[in-house]
Amino acid sequence: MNVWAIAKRDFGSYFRSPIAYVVLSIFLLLTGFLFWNGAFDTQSRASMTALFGPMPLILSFFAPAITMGLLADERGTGSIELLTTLPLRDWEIILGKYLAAVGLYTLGVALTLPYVVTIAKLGPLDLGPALAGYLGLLLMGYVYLAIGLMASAFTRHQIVAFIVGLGLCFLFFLWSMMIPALPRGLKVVAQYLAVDRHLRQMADGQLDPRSLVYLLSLAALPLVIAWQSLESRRWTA
Amino acid sequence: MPEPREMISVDHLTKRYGPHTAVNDISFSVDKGQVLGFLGPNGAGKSTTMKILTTFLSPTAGRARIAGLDVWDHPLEVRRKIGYLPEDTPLYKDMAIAEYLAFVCEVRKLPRSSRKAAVRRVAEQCGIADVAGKPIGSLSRGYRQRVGLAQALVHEPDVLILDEPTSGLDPNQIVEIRQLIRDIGRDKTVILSTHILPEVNATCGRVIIISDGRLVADGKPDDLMASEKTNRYRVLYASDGGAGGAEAALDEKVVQGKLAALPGVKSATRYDSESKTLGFHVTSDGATDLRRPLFQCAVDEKWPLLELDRMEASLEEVFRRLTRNDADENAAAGAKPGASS
Repeated sequence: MNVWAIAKRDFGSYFRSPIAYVVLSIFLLLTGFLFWNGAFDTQSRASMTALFGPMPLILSFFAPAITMGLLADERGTGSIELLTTLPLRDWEIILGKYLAAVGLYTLGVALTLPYVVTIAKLGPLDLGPALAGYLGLLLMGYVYLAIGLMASAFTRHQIVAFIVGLGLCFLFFLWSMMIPALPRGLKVVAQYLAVDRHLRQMADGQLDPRSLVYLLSLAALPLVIAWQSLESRRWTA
Repeated sequence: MPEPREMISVDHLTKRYGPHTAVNDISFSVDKGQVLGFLGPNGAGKSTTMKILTTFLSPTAGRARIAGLDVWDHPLEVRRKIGYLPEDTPLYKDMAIAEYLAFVCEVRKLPRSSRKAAVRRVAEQCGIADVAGKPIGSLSRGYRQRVGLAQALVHEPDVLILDEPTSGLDPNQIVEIRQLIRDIGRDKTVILSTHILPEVNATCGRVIIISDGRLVADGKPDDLMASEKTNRYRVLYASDGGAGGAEAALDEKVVQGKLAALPGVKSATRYDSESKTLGFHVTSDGATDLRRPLFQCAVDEKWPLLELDRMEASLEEVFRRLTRNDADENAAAGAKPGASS
């Protein structure tokens, strides 16, 4: 399967360079600190809420860092010419690269599980909210990775891809801060659109199907745009 | 569907980048078993044409077909049929050669069982078998070029499109790669671009010269050279007066004066020849064949004539005449867009 071949190659490429090791170790360092700092709430019940608060901010940096090279580097070095003249469909390339990034991020999140086990040993952990929170964490990461990949599709410079991706992800973080200033009618809409609010809800154990729909479509949209950007080389006649 | 004989056909192809026309109404076709040399100065439109043939870019106007399939309508089928070596060989530097070729095999859908054999075959062919474990980024330019060729050959494509395949290779490697291309060209179809003229003579049965996006010549290298009439001759005399000084030594000034005075001679200039000889380049006015007068003159004057020949036009001269005209016209029109290839 073509998507799988691309995903394998790009995932492997993270580990052939220092990228994977740097991203994973710094990610674990930061999340480890957040776990340790806020593992217990005021009733000294184990909780993971403290972890999820700063996550949108942390992911705003990590997601574009993971995705910035995926297409920008191919454009920069010209290897995109060989890639796109292989018998591959453009969406297969985009999806394959996205899955490589998703794989690295999921690995990073999976490596935080020992923290959870530690917390659960120290105090009673409410499993439902923990699982829902993790699902939210993964989905939010997938949204940010899609945004990062989209930014990478438009440029040949990795730094540009990173900054644009960071800016867009950061806007989602700022979004919920703007909500109080909005008129009453817009507030409902704005709250539904705020990514971190969905994450917080899930961390509280509320698994709203609307959240899933919203996050999944929010991940799909940038991928479609990235796909069109790649395809546009053939249309700019 | 029977395989069409015409493996590549380009029909009034035009590509514009904004106001700049990179490829201007080019038409040609290449048959199975032909090696076509694509010749032109840098920025003439060679690479752009190749990028269209390989489905990387779309044409602004006109059509291009590979094995009867339109590159615009059937990009995937076209990509399966071609092997492509882009300019500057942009490969994944972090991957090892074998790893990279395995990736290409996988995407090219070679049956799992035959992948190892295919990789071994092209690694042997391209002389990279003993470095197959090395990361591509650590290779020299020449080796990287061979890896580029290997990935283009691994699925045994019907059509090979090679953008400057020998650039960056040392002379021995160049000879090897040319031999390889000739071998492949016997039953496949090959287009290779170059701005190195001897390459065309050595490898291609046919040459197309493009300049400033336009096709300016199409034919066999020998025919193109023959079509270029030359009016230059070369004569070489012994000047040491023979064994034991039996004859008078030749004086440069005298010989030159006599040659220049021959009817139909425009100029005679000395060139550096081996010692104890006197060599001249003689140019005619164009109408006269000077071989007979030059011979007769040597007999009459008793100059010991060692060599006499009419100089053949080189492909360089054909190329320069065809491509310079265009540049001059452009300069006159005051328009020389920043050409990108």
